[in-house]
Amino acid sequence: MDCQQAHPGSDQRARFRHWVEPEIEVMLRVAHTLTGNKADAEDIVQDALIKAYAAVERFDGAHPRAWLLTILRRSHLNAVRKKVPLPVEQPEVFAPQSRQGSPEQLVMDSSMDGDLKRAFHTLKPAAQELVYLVDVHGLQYAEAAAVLDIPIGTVMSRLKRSRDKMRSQLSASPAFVQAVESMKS
Amino acid sequence: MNPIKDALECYWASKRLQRYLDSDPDGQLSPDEIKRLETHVRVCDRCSKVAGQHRTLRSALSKWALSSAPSQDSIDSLTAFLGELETGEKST
Repeated sequence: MDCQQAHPGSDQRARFRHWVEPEIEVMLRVAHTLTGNKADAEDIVQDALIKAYAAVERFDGAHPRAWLLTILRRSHLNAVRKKVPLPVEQPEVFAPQSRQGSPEQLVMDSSMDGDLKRAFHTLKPAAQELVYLVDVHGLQYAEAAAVLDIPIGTVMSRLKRSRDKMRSQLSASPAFVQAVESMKS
Repeated sequence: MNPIKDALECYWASKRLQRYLDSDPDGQLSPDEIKRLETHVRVCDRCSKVAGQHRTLRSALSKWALSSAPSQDSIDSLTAFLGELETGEKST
């Protein structure tokens, strides 16, 4: 697509940056979840920005994040038509982060995280994707619905089933039980 | 104490608990539902425990966001790309 063919006026340009710039990080997060790797994530975000820019005159300004994520989903669909899609982002591949706390707390956090990952991987890929979008990336129901192209009612029911399944699995984890008790106090 | 009534109340609460905890604009409970749910969770050990488990689960999952944050380089690169779009210098 040639950007100059669909170059909006100065008002639209100003609003475009206002709407889009704060959402770049969440677009990258979601794109990484959809593609499973950084390079493809950046590619589809870039493609989505071009499409959004070309369409900005038709955007009413309401819910820019949902608008951008819908465009991002289309960019992702176009990309996967060209190659085999990668599975949902796996938490194991994340770079380890430095943690703070007592040695006992670090051990419990590590154990809890392992149990959490195991519970997460009992979910079907579609459920993993949804839990990741809402509970890790903090998307609202409508935003996750836009990314996955499913009704909001499906988002709510699928989330409920998925979290209930994880909670049930984790109820046998001593680290999780201790974390629940810690949150009470 | 009525076990059947209590079980029905737990079932009612279980259908709404996650929406209550999420506070999502598209899943909001009515003020009456919120009051009924909060009252039930206060007196029901089982539902109170489930609420605590969900809060812990949400808290633990949200920590994954720290380790999956995009790099500042990626953000800067795409922000610069926005500028290129605006000036019409970039075409693909």
